[in-house]
Amino acid sequence: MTDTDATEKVQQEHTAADDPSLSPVVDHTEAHLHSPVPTVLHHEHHEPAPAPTPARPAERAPRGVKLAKISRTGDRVFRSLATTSGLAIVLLVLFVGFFLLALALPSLRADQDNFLTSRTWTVAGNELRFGIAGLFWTTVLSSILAMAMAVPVALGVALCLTQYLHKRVSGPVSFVVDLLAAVPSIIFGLWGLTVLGPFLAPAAAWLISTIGWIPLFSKSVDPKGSVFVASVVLAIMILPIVIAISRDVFTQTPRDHIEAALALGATRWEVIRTAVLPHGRSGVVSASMLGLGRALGETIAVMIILTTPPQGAPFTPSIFAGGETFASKIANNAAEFDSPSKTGAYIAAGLVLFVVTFAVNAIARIVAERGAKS
Amino acid sequence: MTATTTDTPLALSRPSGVRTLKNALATVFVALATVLTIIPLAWVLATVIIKGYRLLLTPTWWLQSQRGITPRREGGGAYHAIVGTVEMALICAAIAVPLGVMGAILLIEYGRGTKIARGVSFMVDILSGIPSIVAALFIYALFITIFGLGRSAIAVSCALVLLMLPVVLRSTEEMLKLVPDSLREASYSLGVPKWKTIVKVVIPTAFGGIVTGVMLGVARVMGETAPLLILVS
Repeated sequence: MTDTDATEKVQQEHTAADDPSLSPVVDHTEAHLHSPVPTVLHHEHHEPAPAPTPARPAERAPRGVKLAKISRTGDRVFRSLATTSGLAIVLLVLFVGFFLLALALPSLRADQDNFLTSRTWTVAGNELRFGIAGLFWTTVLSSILAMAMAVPVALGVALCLTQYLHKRVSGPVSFVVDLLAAVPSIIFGLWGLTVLGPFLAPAAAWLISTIGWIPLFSKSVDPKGSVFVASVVLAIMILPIVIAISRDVFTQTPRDHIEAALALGATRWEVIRTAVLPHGRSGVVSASMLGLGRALGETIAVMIILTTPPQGAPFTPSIFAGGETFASKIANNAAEFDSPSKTGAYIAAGLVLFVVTFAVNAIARIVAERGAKS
Repeated sequence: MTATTTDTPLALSRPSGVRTLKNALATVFVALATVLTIIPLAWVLATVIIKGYRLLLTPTWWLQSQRGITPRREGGGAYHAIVGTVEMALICAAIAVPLGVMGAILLIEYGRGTKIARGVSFMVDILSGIPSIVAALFIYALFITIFGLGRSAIAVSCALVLLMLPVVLRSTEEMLKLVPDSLREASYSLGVPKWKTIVKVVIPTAFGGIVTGVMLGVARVMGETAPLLILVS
């Protein structure tokens, strides 16, 4: 660890001090071959060659020499425009969290039940009793199930596109996969309800009869609009994004690593296992998390497919039961936003969804950045 | 040891049975996964086209709205839906495109590697992960609860801006990255100020890609449903 850190630092100094055209790749491999001490030596010995000091005066020279007077007003205006839009974006995201919190707080204070552990949702009368336990369970269950189904398939497709298919074939296949991302979610929802649901019913019945003794797969009243169908549709919906990111990471596998594996007599699968997958691991994890984030927040498809259980129905952990996710709960009841306390309850649910997706996306980004560094 | 291995080079050159089997299994898995991915797309497309193409061929579908059409009466068309979708997408694009392109210019041209750029980049990542329903709730909170405005199409457009912005910004950023530095340097060396270089050299070079990004963003917001449920009644 310390070894790589040291080389990294050296490398950063290098690229910062020398002109940027100096290829860092060559440096890196050379630095790796030597132990830390020769690295420093190599650093010192290399520095005088590109001569960084004369570069700066050369840059500043035009200021001393009086050329034509150029008005930089346009520059300043343009720069501040760009900065303003950047700051506007930052503010926008902060506002989302802030306003949701501000409007949710009064209702959260008035909540008679425990917000985190209660499963009831009564917001109509004067007395507010609501909690997110049921919503949280359905949301997380359907999304994790979707991710578990989508990621292996997406990995296979990404590998197929980058390692197996010829460029002439993989281009059109990539295009088709990207098309999948362009299908609006409401179409997936209608298709899932009317076509996929009935199609999956025998599979669901078979699962119930064989492994129904596991609570997760236990028999439930209405297997049609179930979490199971919803998560299959969610899996299809997040496939394109996971494939696209994994594909990009796999194509960046260093050619040398692949050729080295081949030279050692590795089969194609062994090349993938020893060179491609280790290189792309962080990218794949990050892609899966992004897909999970998508699945967590998906509204319409889930809302159309899931049957809403009647108020006060007993809790069942089965994936063949209906349910409501955060997003579908809010969307289902959007017409009833009439009093501030009621709206506040739904906004509180939205806030939880925001926080969860925020966390998932932040993890995805951190994993990706760490992968890019090492 | 070393002598014996050099004696049998031919026997080593072929992978053993287990390795060949594993390789074949991996190939089968990869092929299956690809087929499995293409099936739903073909299926969805086929369902939509087979069930819907007849209506698209009639002129009433394009030219009539649902005005006066009750659930019991047949007829009507999607005219109002087409107009509404295009209108909202255009308003949304009018706000999101300048903001997104300027944000990308900040990230690539002005603030490469600075703290502002890193903050903006992080926030754009978060923004691209915001579920559409949360964006809708935010606009509901801001416009309807706090400002006291009614539910309206303009509110929907504002919510859609939140969804379109990251798409436009990220794709523009990628395209600006592809513009070679030599073009910029050539422009500077002729004494052209930076902003003019961006407007006249960098953006025209990346124009095609920026348009693609905008179209992707428009496609995303056109298919969005959740904000409409909450923000229009």
